[in-house]
Amino acid sequence: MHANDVRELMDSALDGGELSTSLKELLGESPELAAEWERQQRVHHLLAADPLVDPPMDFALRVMGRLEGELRRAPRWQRHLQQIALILAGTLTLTWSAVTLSRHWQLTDVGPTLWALMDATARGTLAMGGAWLSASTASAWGWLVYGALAIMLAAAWFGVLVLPRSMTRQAGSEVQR
Amino acid sequence: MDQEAIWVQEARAGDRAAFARLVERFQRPVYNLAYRMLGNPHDAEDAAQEAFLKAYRALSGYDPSRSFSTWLLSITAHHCIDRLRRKRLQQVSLDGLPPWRQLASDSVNVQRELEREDEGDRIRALLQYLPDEYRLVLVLRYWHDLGYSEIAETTGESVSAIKSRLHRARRRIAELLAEGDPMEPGLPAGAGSEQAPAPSVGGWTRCMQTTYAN
Repeated sequence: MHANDVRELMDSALDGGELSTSLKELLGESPELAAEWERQQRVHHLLAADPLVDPPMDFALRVMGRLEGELRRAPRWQRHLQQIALILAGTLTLTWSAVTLSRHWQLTDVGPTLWALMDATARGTLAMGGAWLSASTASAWGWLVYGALAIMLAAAWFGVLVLPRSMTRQAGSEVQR
Repeated sequence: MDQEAIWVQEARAGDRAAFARLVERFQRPVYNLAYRMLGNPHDAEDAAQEAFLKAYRALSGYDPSRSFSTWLLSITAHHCIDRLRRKRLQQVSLDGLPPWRQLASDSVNVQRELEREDEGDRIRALLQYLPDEYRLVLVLRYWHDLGYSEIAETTGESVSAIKSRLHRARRRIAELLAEGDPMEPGLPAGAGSEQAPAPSVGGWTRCMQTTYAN
């Protein structure tokens, strides 16, 4: 008999079938096969006797809590779009503000081309500006407004980019505990 | 229509209370599968939770003609295997050990597991040294009491592949046990008799009975 056939007969017997007459004969004739059959049976009984484990008491509650949290959050693509828009808007605003103030107080001395570009940007910003730009003509107010703007943007970035990730990590570690 | 099918239908229509009932109903088998696959309770809980979340998101694609439990276990099994692969990749990139060094350290670990007193502990620990696909078929067969065709449906493999893996997995465990036990003393009660009883004490039936009892 082919080895695969013997294997099939053994597996079939282990998985609830009858121990066939041909296998019985083979086991009687071959001590190696009989030893193999005993080893397989031993593993089978050990596996079958191993008990099930219980999930933690509040497992279902935790799953539903996680699900509620996930459903409350905006879809991932929407969050990414918001983050990108915020980064772009923040970077542009800060750059424009820095250039405008530098131009106004002539703090920097850069090359003629870059200077012209900054000048144009500053003029454009001044033209579009409004209340805070007129305030920036007074140096103390200008720095104050610029500082406040930077703090607000930093807070917004922190809120949108950093906090959600740390909260996710915290939720994960709570789940693990 | 049975209660489970009603809950599934309601959950598909967006009823979260119905999904909560399904979680309660299936938490034990899903957690057990994750536990046997991942080998520790922390990872198992996290993976089982994620499997339920995945199932919730995929509910609209669930085919009601299939068994819900098989579908759910299939999601859990694939999730656990993905997780193990990711973990292994991270370990390889962190350790930077060449393959022969990893094999050597595996062999030392196997030896340590074989020194455990209790045979049940030993076999549980040795499960972790099987390839993921082998471990999965053993877990589904013994702790979930699934037949060949149900295991094939859960894993997406053919019945013949499942039979072959089951055989190799049992054989590998037997080899690992024999490595630490050259004399191979007494078999458990019932072993050695001509008729091997089916492992009906284990698995799915037990999971479900206890869930109902709770």
